[in-house]
Amino acid sequence: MHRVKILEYALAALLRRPGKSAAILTAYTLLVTVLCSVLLLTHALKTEAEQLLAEGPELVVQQTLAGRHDLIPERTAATIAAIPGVASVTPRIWGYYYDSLTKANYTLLAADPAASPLELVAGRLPENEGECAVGMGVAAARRIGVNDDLILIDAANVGTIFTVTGVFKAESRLFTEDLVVVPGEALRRFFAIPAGMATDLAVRVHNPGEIETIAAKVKRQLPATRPITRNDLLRTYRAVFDWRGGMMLALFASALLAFCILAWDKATGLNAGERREIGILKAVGWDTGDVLMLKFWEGLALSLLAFLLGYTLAFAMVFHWGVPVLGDVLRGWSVIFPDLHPVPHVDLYQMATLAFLTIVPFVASTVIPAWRAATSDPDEVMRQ
Amino acid sequence: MRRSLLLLPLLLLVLAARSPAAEPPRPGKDERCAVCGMLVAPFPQWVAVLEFKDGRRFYFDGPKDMFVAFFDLPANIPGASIDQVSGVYVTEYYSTRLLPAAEVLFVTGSNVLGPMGKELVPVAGAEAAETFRRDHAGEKIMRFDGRQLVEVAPRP
Amino acid sequence: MRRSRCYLGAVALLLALAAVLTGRGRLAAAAHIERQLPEQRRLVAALQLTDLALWSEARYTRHPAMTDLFSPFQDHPGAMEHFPAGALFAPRWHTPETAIGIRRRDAEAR
Repeated sequence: MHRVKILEYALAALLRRPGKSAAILTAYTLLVTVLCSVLLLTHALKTEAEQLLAEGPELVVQQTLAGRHDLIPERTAATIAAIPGVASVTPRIWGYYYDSLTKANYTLLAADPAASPLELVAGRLPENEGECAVGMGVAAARRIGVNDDLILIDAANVGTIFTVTGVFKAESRLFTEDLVVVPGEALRRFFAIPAGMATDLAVRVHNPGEIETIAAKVKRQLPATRPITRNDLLRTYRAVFDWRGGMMLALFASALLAFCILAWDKATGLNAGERREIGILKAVGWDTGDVLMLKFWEGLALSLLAFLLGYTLAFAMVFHWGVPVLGDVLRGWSVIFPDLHPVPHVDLYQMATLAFLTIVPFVASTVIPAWRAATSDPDEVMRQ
Repeated sequence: MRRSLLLLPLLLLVLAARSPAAEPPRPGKDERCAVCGMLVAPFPQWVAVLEFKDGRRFYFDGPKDMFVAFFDLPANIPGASIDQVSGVYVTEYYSTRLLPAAEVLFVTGSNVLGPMGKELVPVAGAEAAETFRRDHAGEKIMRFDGRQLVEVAPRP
Repeated sequence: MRRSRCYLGAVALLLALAAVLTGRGRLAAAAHIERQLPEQRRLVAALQLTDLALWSEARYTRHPAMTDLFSPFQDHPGAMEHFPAGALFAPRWHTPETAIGIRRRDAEAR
């Protein structure tokens, strides 16, 4: 009962300065919303990337020439296939295409039609020369659909017509948005890749424990190559979406800095009115513990409301409203960028950390100056 | 690529000829190791199986635990004896396929650790076993003769 | 007691809302793992994909896992992509007003 009465009084005190309280609540909520949505979005994308790319090739072997990626001779596949533990080696052909019509980059990829039928392709994968399957981004940019024609300019500057046989469905947008899938030989001719060469080699390995050893052997036997293991791949995505890296750090740091200024402003002292209030409370018989309890409830009442509001808002923004502001930050210069509909993978531990990192400093910055005022003599406090 | 496609049916034929008995099924989600009690399913590349003539199957989370049980059957699997065993299978390291234990070689003391620490790592073929021993700092190469593990003399 | 009851009510309501959102999100994520993920992974395996199709503006952003290690820093070491211009200007969004559809003559026949 005692506590409820103190809470009642704390709320009354907050409402006595409605402008200031509202301003703090708004700023606080905004801050939590920004931080929370960054964390929720990056965690969701990271989880999805890890789940998906765990199915990618165990090892990709690239040729390097003068320190740059180069075409790899297909006969090196036999050398790699002879290493024990290697299940299969497939030469991959893929590359980029700048489409001056839409000012966008596409990723052209050769695929094995034997993988068909795939449920995530509306239509089918290309089987014959002059057919292709496209991602939704390409389809939207070129305004084409199944059975329409896609004209691309090949390496000899001649227009090549591909009939669209399939469009990747929306569930796969995160990894197929800018793809144009073409049969292998057709793509080789399109890019004018010499016979017997490939972009890189995809290596499948049975035992995940042996991947690193095989990578080391490839590097030893073919010194001009760069083997990229699936762990490297996953590590890249962990780094890209890590809140400690890149753009996310910039956002995170500025938001935290703003919060520190807010907390510091409160911590540097109470105004005369607040000090007098504490003095009067002590004069009418409140002891220091009660005053601190009052200030604690003031801080907690505000932070709890702000955090819950901020979290709910961030959750709705990221997972229900299509990532309004943050999505544009993430998009950057990409012309083709998938609509983000992240799967709501929420790391509750991360959220608890955020709650701890915002609520505790704020409550502390309310209680500590009050504690200084409350321990001094009431007469002195009122006189100032 | 094309040549390997041609070789594939041949390879399958050879493999089919080598293992007349069908591969035992993969362990269920709740299957536990009959020696240490750990769940088996999380370690698919280590699974070992003892099959009995009455159709019972016991799963192990590594060849080492399987041999612990095999060398002292009555103590580990009540009421079982060696003549009732109809099949001994281990997961080959490089291919992660279940193969009869008599068809593979076991490398001891390597730096490849199983769920229960140091393992007898099953590798098919003398050459592959030697490669594995070299790559992973293994000590001895053993062979399973149906009753015992015997050391194979190192090749010069 | 009126104010504290209002406040506690509001907090309880928000907490319930947050819990419902999170709980539904977890269910949706679990359902996604069970229903959509296997098919998505089949596609990734079939096309042997190594990267997410998020940023198509440069090859080191389209396939961050596949590029040379130094390519993001071609302008100078540690350079962000065209900083500060890239951070300040919004990219121009090209959507042509007219579109020409081209079809092969035998398309109808097929």
